[in-house]
Amino acid sequence: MSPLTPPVANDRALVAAVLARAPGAFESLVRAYQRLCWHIIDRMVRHPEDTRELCQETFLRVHRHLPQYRFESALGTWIGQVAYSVARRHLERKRVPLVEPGAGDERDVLEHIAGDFDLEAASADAELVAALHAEIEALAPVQRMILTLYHLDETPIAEIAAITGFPEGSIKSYLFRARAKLRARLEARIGGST
Amino acid sequence: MTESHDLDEREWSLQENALRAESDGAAPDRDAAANRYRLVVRALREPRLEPIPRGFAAAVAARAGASAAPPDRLEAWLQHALLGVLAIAALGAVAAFGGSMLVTIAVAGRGVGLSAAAGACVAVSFALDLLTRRKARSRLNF
Repeated sequence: MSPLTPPVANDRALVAAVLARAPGAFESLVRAYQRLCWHIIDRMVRHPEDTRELCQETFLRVHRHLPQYRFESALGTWIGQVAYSVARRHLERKRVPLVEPGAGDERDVLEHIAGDFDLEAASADAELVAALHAEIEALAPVQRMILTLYHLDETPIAEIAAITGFPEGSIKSYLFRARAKLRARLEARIGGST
Repeated sequence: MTESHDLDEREWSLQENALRAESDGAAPDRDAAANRYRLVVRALREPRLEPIPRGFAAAVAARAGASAAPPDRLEAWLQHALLGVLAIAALGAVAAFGGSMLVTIAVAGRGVGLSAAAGACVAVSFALDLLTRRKARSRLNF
């Protein structure tokens, strides 16, 4: 898996080059962080045109405010914060709930998990994974985005917390609930098809 | 906001172990619950993502460059011309009404001391500076 963000040591040189208006410097910065930006926005917005527009808006903001960036956080975290903020405002304007309503008690999720059944005897894994993708799409935007950053990009919980502004405990809780819910849905699906 | 102390630690360990096992490509677990989570992890590692459009970085960089470019020659010339017109208009106004303006200022100056006027100037400058700083800070606040 390719790393989500380039080495932090390169950030200063990259920022200095952009501020000095070196040819191709900003394009390099976009190329280095477009994956992070895309993942955050795509997983929250789930609309190709909006994702492209909002990613573009994110990098234009980054370009405009780069002179004020003071390296207080990693460049990737800072860009991630801008991307998250842009996507969050977009969803708020559309009145889309950012997190699942009533996301508070983990026990109600665990109650829906079956005690035991033979997964090996169930449908083929590929079909189950496809079904799980549909369940993932049905999750709330923030949970979907956190799951992708954690699982696909291997972003540490502390960095996800820095990007989103949620406490680390909440990030952990969102991960836990979403995965337990997906497991419960998986078992319900297998149970219903057998 | 939900905090992590509500977590079922055993279930959390199952989830994290499944993540590690899937990353390492380990053989299926004997525990059925662990295998269910491995399937969840597999789906989460292959999400349905829209691909990044080809040439996205170049297009964004071009747009950023265009918006940050200095004004072109025509724009600069128009700015200078406008400033010139304003300067001529100001000179004309002073020539036409300068005398009466000076009388008005002198009359007003008797009522208000020069020190008070200077104080007001300092207060206005300070307020404007404060306003500019606040605006700059709010712009940084995405």
